[in-house]
Amino acid sequence: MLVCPKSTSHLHKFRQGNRMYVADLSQCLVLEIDNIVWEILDLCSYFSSEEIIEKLGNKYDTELVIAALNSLATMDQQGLLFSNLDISSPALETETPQKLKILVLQRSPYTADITLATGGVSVAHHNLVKSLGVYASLDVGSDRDERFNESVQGIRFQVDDKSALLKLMANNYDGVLLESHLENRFFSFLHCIDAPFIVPIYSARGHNGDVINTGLVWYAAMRPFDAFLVPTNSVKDLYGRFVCDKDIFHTIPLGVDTNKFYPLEKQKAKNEIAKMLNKPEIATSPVVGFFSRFQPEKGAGIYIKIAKLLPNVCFLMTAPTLNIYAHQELPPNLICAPQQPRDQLVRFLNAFDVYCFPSMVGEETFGLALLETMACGIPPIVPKLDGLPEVVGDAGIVVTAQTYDDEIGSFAGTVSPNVMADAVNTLLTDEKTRLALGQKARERALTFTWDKTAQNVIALFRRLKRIQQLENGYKRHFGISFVPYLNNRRKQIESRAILNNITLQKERPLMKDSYAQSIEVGLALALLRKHSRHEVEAVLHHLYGQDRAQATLEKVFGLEESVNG
Amino acid sequence: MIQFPRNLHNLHYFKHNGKQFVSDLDAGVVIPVNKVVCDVLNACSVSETDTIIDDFSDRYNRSEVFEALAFLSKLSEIGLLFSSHPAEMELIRRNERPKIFMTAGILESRKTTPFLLSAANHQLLKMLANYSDLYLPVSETDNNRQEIEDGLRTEGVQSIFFRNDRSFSPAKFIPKDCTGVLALAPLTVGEQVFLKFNTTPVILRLSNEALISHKARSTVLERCAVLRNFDAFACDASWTQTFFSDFVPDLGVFHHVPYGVDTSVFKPMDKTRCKHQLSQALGNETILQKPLVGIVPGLNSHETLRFLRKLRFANPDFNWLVIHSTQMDDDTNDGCVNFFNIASLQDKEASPFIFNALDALVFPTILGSFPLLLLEIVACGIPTVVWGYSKPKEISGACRFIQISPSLFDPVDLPVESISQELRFLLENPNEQKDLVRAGLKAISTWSWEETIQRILRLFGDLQNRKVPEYKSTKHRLLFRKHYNPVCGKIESEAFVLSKVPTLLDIEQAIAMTLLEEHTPMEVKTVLHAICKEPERVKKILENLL
Repeated sequence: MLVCPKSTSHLHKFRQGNRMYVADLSQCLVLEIDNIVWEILDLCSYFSSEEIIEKLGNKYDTELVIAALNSLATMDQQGLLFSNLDISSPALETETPQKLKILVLQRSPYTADITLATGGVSVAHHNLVKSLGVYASLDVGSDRDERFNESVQGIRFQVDDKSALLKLMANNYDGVLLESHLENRFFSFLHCIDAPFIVPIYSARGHNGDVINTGLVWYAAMRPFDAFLVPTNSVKDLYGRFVCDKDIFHTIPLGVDTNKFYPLEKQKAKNEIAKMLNKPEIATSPVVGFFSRFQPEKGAGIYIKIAKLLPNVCFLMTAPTLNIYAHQELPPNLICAPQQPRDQLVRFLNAFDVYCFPSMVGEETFGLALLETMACGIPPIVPKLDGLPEVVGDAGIVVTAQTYDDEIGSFAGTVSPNVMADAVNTLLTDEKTRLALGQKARERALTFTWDKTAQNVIALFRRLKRIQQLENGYKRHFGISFVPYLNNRRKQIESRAILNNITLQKERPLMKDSYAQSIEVGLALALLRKHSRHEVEAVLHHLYGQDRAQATLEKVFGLEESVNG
Repeated sequence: MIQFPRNLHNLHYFKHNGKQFVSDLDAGVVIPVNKVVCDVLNACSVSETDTIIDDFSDRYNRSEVFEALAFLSKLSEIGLLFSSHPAEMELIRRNERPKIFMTAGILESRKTTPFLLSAANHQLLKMLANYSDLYLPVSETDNNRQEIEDGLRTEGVQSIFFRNDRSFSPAKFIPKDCTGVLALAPLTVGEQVFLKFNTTPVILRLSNEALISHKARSTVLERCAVLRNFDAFACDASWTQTFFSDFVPDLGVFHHVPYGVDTSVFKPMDKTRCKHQLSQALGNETILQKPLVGIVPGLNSHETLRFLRKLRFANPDFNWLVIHSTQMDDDTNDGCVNFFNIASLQDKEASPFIFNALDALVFPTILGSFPLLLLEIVACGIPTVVWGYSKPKEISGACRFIQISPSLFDPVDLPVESISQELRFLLENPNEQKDLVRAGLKAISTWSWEETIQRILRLFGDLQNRKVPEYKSTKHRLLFRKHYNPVCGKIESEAFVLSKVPTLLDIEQAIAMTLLEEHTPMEVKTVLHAICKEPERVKKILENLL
């Protein structure tokens, strides 16, 4: 039964015809109600449930009143009618007017357990949201609508729920942050929510082209005030090969919590891990670490080969599963540890003398595990692929790799196990260099903080908001006609477009009444009335190729700008 | 932009704590709104979008109104507030006197239009004013403003004065309840805007005589492309459309609306007396001795003279009278070839007598000839030899006819030999002459000015009824995007419909779908021809969509 009194200041009752309705203004929802509920709602902000039953008892059957209170209780449990959160928020806003209001859309619930997470995306997202909370008040799309902490409010919604969508539309966000670009079920929100979207791309290629194609869908629909957040310039460079608008990519490196990932006394760490895994050789031999999913794309095969090439060195890897390699004989010097909880990782990583990450799939936009290992003062050895070199900088060894620039869907490159093994060997035998690089790795990792990432994201939101303010307003679109043209000189019928000097608002901004244009310019202008600039780019790319598309777009945007200002 | 009027869902408006809300009871949601959105909602079930923008412009600033429209369009897209189909356009109330908006081009073109055409248009305007209210936009800054206004008033046309300001197009001044726009002169480039962003039917008067120039023909092709299915060409000649039949798929845009013939003035008279009068007037005795053949050229002056030289050489025993209303260098006048230039009202009054002096007429149904001359001369009972693209329907084919095929670029074939043969046959067979004259007179009796006006008004009525879109767009948004094709390893482009189950489309088809929402099928065809390699595909795409 509904426990009263309840606040009803966000409810509005009305009659239309002979029907009765209640509008829940905080949920943007209207429900049809009957007489009893109508009266309960009148009373329930002042009286307890028992008093209500008593008061209505002389008018209605008591059982009916109780049934109504029960059904209201069910609604309350679903978060309907009585969960009013908007009342307190305006006050909060006036206290901190500078704080941005940001909507976070994600796949996993806010409280997702990341203690075991191995996917870089959820680790990155979790840390980013946590750090953003300092600078912004966040609404997190979630399965419930309660406050998680001071700055994070859960907003209950489902993608298909219109009233939930309306609520988001009415909330006037300063920005929307997605978990990653793969969350494309939020795609339609671009058309409804009038705030800049920041869409992070954490995987740029591989997966048979799926990830780049999802990225390209976002690209197509994005407005001039939306942005992709990419962790390294490598992603920007990759997309830059296919799309004209490169400015939509903003490089903001990820961070690492250097208080959780830090150097320990090496021998002590090695002893502990040796004891834990019951492998004494860890304590006595040099250790080459691997810390990623154990699969071909991440270079597991290469790693095994390196282990075979260096039989006197201990190879220590941790992964949730060995995948296909569980069924094959692995070299005796390769020690497979089960997945480590995140709070245990610092000890485990400190047992490495060097970190070897021969990934070859080409989806290492950043390498969060790499940065975490570096933060523990372990010198990394990585192939020169994707974002890895940008993270390593001069604090490790970057091995030359064969890259396949045209390969987007599968392996982006290969690295020779021999070359990797040589690099590992060199570093293991040269203790001075190894320790120096380890020191450098730690120092470099200290420059990547989540706080910096969050500040950069906030700065980006502010910049996008400014762009949005400049974009919004009065847009003029010209009437375009497509007409055949009798070319008397060439004795043939040709096609051309005509820009009529009349806008949708029936103004005549230009000097002359009409201007003949090529079909491609006319087509671009006509499509721009309904479609985004990037969509028009796709069309022109299809019809005329990349170079001509770009030239046409520049011309058309120039015209638009000169007319609209 | 969202198109109004639209039918609304069951809505309820209310205020709560000073904030305005509207609840959509059909969808079960509450939407916080501002004052502008609320006002637009109140207006949008009866008014068109344009009207709303205009009406609100004094209360709110434009960007506020556009913001509100954009907001409503978003809500409409997610299925709120509006029923799925725009409300049926309000049909014209037939019993009321039609309101017709004239294009200003007619004022300017009066100076350059040949006298005959100009006089016919003047007559048409006067007759039309008896049946409808006519409006014509006149620039406020025009120096002869008062004079123009007075002049128009005598013709029954009301002037609408407008500021010649870049922030307004004349299209803005079309009265809201206007039946249609009538362009008697070819649309000036500026007036083309009547065909864009407007829902008023437009009738373009197409004068066959004006199509003598290549540029004018090209313009017709261009206009054909942008005519919506509730616009039309009103041709003064039945054969104009045959010329375009190869280039325009839908000849339905061409309607035959001839000028009227005043049969109380143009009628058979005493031929001998008329011949005497003409001979005196021209000071040419030979006119009484040889048969006199009238010629209406329809060619440029250079070609006309070439045509005449050939005809004269083939038929030394005839006299010729060239009847024209444009400038002609008549340097070949050697007594056999005479010229009658109808360049003033006086000439026009003399013309029935001059026509009656003819024994036969040679008339071309090609682009460039003035069709009213054919009607008026046939009304005087003159047997006719016609050469051209098609038999003239206006005289029910009552003529000796020589077919030539139309060609876009090359000069017209001059079938001199056939014309000579037909002329001889005609002049030697009085019975054939009688038959042709009888049939001709009967046909002419239907072409009164009354009929012309009725045809125009009927056409406006038809067009009003046709104001339903030919193409129904999909409910869902279309998205064009680039796409990595893992099989060939290349970036390609594709389009799809963003429904629950996204459907892939050909880019070309998707372009056509997007364009059809605001462009005519002809325009879309033009674009498709330019972007598709195979003509077969263009046909298929359009057939699929329409």
